[in-house]
Formats: sequence, structure tokens, C-alpha cells
Amino acid sequence: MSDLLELFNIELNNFKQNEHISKGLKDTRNFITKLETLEKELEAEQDEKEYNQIISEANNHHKVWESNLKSNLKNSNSTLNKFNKNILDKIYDFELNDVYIYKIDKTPSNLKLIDNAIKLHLIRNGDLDIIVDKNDDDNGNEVSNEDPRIDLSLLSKFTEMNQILKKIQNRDLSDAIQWATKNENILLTQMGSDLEFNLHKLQYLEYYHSGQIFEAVRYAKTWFPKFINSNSSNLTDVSKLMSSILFNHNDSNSPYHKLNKLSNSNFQEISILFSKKYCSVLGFSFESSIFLILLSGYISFPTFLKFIQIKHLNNKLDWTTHNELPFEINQPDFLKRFHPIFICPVSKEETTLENPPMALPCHHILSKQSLQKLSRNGGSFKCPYCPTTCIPSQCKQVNFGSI
Amino acid sequence: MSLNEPSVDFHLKLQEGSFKVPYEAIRKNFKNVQKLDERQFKKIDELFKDFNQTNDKKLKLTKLKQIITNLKQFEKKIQSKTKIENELISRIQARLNKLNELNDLKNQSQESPSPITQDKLLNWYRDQTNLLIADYLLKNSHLIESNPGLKLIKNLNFEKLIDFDIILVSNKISTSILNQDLSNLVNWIDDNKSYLRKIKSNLEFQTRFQQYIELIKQGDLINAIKLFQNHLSFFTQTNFNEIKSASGLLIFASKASKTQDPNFQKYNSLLSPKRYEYLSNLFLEIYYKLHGISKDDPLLIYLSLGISSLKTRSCKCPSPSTQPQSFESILNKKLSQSHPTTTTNNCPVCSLEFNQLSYQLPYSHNVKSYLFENPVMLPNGNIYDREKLLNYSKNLTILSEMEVKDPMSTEVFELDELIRMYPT
Repeated sequence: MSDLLELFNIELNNFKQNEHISKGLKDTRNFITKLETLEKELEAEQDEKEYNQIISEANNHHKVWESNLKSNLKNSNSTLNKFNKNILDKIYDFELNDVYIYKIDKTPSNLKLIDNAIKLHLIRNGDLDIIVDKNDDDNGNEVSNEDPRIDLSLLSKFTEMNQILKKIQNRDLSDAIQWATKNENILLTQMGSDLEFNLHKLQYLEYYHSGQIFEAVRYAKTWFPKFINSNSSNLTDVSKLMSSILFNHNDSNSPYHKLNKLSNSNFQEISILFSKKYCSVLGFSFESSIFLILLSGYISFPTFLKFIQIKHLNNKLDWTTHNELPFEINQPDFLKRFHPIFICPVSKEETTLENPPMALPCHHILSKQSLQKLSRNGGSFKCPYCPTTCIPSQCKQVNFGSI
Repeated sequence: MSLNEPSVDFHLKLQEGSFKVPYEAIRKNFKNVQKLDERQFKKIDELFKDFNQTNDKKLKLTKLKQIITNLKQFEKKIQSKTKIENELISRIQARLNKLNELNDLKNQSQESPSPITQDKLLNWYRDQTNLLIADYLLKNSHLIESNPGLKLIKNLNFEKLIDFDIILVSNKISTSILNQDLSNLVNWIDDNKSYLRKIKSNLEFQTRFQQYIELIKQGDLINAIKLFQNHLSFFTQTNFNEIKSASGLLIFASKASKTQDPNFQKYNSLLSPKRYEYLSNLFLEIYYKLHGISKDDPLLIYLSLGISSLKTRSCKCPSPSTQPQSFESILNKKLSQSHPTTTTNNCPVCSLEFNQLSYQLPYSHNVKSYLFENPVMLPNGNIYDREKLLNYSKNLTILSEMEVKDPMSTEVFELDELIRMYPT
């Protein structure tokens, strides 16, 4: 599957095993130690013959050292070249900016816009120090004089969120539950969110699994009733949870055994849910915009590249419209659901403000331009999809809305 | 559930640069070792010659001691080079590990698709997002000492994943150029003369020329002429036109600064502080090329792709001729839509922070409608998903059970006014 990755791992291991310069370092150390021994011998030696022996030995060591280092340089050089040839050349296929057709010019105005988007992203991570300091240092500079200081209380809300998330990771739900209870009104009535109920369920299971049965029952009595009243489907959940008490938590014969399994992944799931709700209560979308856009950048990169490469082979191929990409990107659903898209079934073109979708009396929908073509001078025409005929004045402009 | 995102091997290609940069640095380090070695061979050769020639025992011993001391100094130098190499190799390893991690996450989410495995995979992309942002801040923020990109990297423990040291050096030099201080640039040029010669770069001439212009501006004609003789005159062959203008400046500079005469435009543009921007860009281009760093900011490349692949005809993007909104006003607007109604759209392209940037980029191309399960039309022409509309209305306690509310227009309609639609 990932051939290049595998190859890279192998090549990097080979590369690391070759000691390069550290080998030369060892040789040098060796040489020094040997010379130091000879130095001592030389100091002590009286015998002429032995004396000459020492000197020739020193010269020998010198030769060995030099030739070792030389062959070492040679080896290192070839390992370096090999590494380049065997893997780096293979992963070089294109330049990043090959696909950079629509440039975002670094005008002062654009730089400011990018700066804003980055700050809004960093706020979520709780990386406030980065933004705040930056603002401090920017001071005196004309841009920031227009900007009032950032509302620190907002930043602290994101710190709070990150602190609560950390606690959830450590299986401590107390702060999360406290927050959910405090914001119960918004969560339940405006969002119809079941975050709070899920938190309580998890807390109950945590007691159950740690063997604190009575604590679990007491907890259930305190919290579950109000959720049964607000949503009848919760009743089934609660009855199952309560009945599980009749069984030991690790009894695999329990009919609830599978249902009530508890692991870190339950806590991971709840932390995703928690941060979603926390952000929307603050008025932020759960995902930062810059993240979604960059993710989409990664997803669309291969398609852009393919088009550029084909275009290089065939010069005739060109952008047909300059304000629209010439190819479709296959996006995952969660990146598509922001706006409904309607393609006119006759012209195969996307409807726009200038060319809006029109509903026919038979409840089929066409684009305005297609409708005008079909009707010619406002006369009656047949719907392309059913036997109904109508005149344009019976058609009505419609608008797709997303909830 | 699939993200439809590139394969691991494709990511490897996307990140080619992040392996090439440390590799080139290893190579450069090795070249330095090679030079040190060769110098050391010569030196030790000489010392041994002396050692062998002398017959005096005492002198021989001194010579041997000298050899040992010299070797120890050499050893220290090589030790520091080994350290550099080990650090660089550990960067390559860390970056490869990050891709191995992606490989594992992808396998996991394929074997057992779930919101958790998907979120783990998305987390990998969150890391990439932060890396792209850090890289951008390292290069573009003119704060050197407390660079926000560096802080981000440290907060996230990403030190091995990005060559921040190499980038900060260039940022420091380019920032000082923009502050009209050329000393750092001159030092860098001196250290990289051979490379500049190899690529036949114009940088050295332009830098000296700028120093000359600055002296002229200060009215220091004597030093200006000295600089001309010592530095500029070598470039007569390659930069003859500029040399002519340089000579002209001696006479016309003071006059040019006082007149709008188009004949003096050439001199005025030479005297303009805009030339520092030109010089900074010229330097960055060469520096990035030398180290194998992408010329365009990867963040901007991915933003451009991402926005145009997400932008739909329904995205509301105001023209860029409007002033960029301040960060605080965006924040305040976001907060005032607190407790969002269901119509607040989370589309990143028309979000407050991106809509002005998005205006400049093209729309995505769609060949298939992307609508909802059961489209129903309200009497006002708005079409919604039936389930979602009913659900939305159910939560609003003010309505009776037979009523629905249009989330966009806030009008209330009877349930039997809904018309089922058949978009094809």
C-alpha cells in the first residue's frame, strides 16, 4: 500500500547505521590515545632500538588514521548520495507551487485577513500567550492602534474549555457536568442537545464499573428523572442502565454487558461532543475555519496536480471559466453540507443568484435560463420530466435552505 | 466515512521539502567536515615531518605533544559537527515517524471505521494545520525574539518537525533589511560568496549598490566614491546600466529629490525606500533556494486550493475593496450570534474570517446536485429538508403542533402548506 513509506523507513535505517563523521571521530580518539601511550613510552625509553621502534609506530598510526578518515569520507559521501538517490529523488515528483494557480497576493489587506484567521484558530487551541504577546509587541504600530484590545475574558473561556477537556481525558467528568448543568437551558431548548444526559450516563457507568453500586443508584435517582420527562426515548436508555445493576459489571452473561462496556474511547467520544457544544454555546463553530479549508486543500491537491500535469501534456486544454475550477473535487460529506447545491437537470449548470432555480407547477425544478429557452417568448412548454405543460408565469423562483 | 484524502505516499511527496531541507543541511555539514579533515591531514603531515626530522629527543617529545594537542582541538570541532548531524537526522526521523503515524491511523480507520478513529485521523490534520501556521508565522512575523510561530512550535512540542532555526535566520536578516540595516545581509553574503557566484546572483551587487545609495542620501560623497571604487567597480561588466545610474546619482541625487520631473524618475526610484523591500525579497528568494525551502508559503498554497474547492455559488463573499475587518470586530460579531439559531452556517469559506479572502478565488465546480432527502417547499419559495424543518419547529415551544417556522424568514406556516418537491 504505502511502498514509498516502507522504502523510506528502510533507507533511513541504513542511512543511520552508517556512522559518517562519528566514525572519523572514533578513529581520531583512537589515534590520540595511541599517541599518548607512545608519548609516555618515549619519555621513559632509553634503548635506541626501542626508541626508533616507537617513532615508526607513531608514523604507522598516522598513516592508518589518515587512510581511515579518507575512506570514511568516501563512504559517507556515497551513503549521502545513495540516500538521496534511493529515496529523496523518488519522493520528488512536483513542486508545491505547481498547483498554485490562484495566488493569494501578499497585500497588506490580505496579510491582515490571514492574520485574523490564524488568531481565531489559535484561540481555540488555548494558545492565548501567542496572540496576546503578539498584540503587545505590535503596539505602537499603526495597525493595532485601530484595534481595541482583545477581550481577555473570551480567551479565558477557551482556556476553560481546554482544561475541562483535559479532565475528561483523565476520566474526571465533574467540571464538564457542572458546565452542562449551568448551560442546560441553551443546550436543551435551543439545540436539543443530549450532552448533559450523556455525561450523566457516563458518570453513572463509571460508578457502576468501579463497584460503587449504591453510589450509582443514588446518582441515578438525582439526575435521571428530568431527562425521562424531557424526552421519552431516554426512558429505554435509563431502564437498561438501571437493570444492569442486577448483574456484576464484568459478568459477560449480562444482557447489558456489551451495551455498558466502558473504556477510554467513551471518554474520547464525549470530549468530541463536549467541545462541539461548548463552541456553539460561545457562538463558534466546532471546527476552526482555517482547519477545514486546509483539510480541503490537502484533499483537493491530487486533483489539482493531475489537472496541471495533463495540461502540460496538452496545451489546448485550458481553463474555460476563470471564476470556476475546471474540475470537480470529490469532497467528503462533512465538507459539502454547508450549502445545498442544485444543478439544473437541463443545462447541467449550477444555479446562481443570476440564474436561480424555478419550480414548475408539477414540482419539478429547472434553472431560470433553461426555462426561458424551453418556453420561447413566454409561451407554454412541456416539463422535460413529466407530461405536464405550463407557462413561465406559473413557475416560481425557489431557494434551497439548509438547517 | 472516508475523508477521501491523499494516500500516505502522496503525503510523503507533499512533504518532500521537509526532508530535503535537513538533508541539504547534513550535506553542507559533511562538506565542512571534509574541509576540516583535509586541513587536518595537511597540518598533521607537517607536524609529523618536523617530528621525524629532528633528532633531539626533547624536541621530538615536544613535537609529539603538539601533535596531540592539535588532534584534540580537531576532535572537538568534529564532535560539534557530529552533534549537528545527529540533530538533523533526528529531524528526518521525527518527520518520517509522523507519516508512519498517519499510516497507522489510516489503517485503523479503514479496519474499524468509527467517529473515534476518524477524529484521530482528523487530529493528524489538525497537527498539520498548526505546522503550516507555525511555518507561516516564522517566515512572516517580523518579531524575531518572541516569534509567535516559535512559541506555537514549543507549545506543541513540534521542534523536530520544522526547521525553525534555518527559517528564523532568514527572517532576522530580511527584517533587518526592511529596517534599512544591511549589516546582517553583508555578513551573510560574505559567508555564502561561493554559492552566490555559482548561481550568478545579483544580490551582492544590489546590496553594495544600496549601501552606496544610502551614503549618497546622507550626502557623504567621499565615502560613496570610496565604496564605488572598492565594490561597485567590479561589476562594470555585469551591471553596466546600474553603474551608469550610480555615477549619475553623484550629480543628480539632490536635484532629483526635489523635482517631479519624469526625467529624474530613474533616480527617484533608486532613492526610494521601496528598494529595501526589493532587496529583502531578493535575499529571501536566494536563501530559500539555497536551503530547499518553498518560495511560496505552503499555508497560502493550501488555503488557495482549499477555498476554491469549497466555495459554492451560495457563499456570501464581500468584495475585497472593503476594508479588512479587524480581529476584534470579527470576534464581537461571532459572539453576538451566540446561542446560534439553526440557520447560522458553519461554512468556512463564507465565515467572517475568510469571506473577504474567498472573494478573490474561483468557485468550485459541481456536476451533481447536493440536496436533502425530502425537499419540501414553503409558500414563500424556500425549500428545506422535511425532517429537519419539523425537528427545528418541534423544539420551538411557541408553535402549535400543526405549525412550522421558516428559519430564514421567521414566517410561520401551517403543516399542510408544505409542498413536496422533485428536484432531479
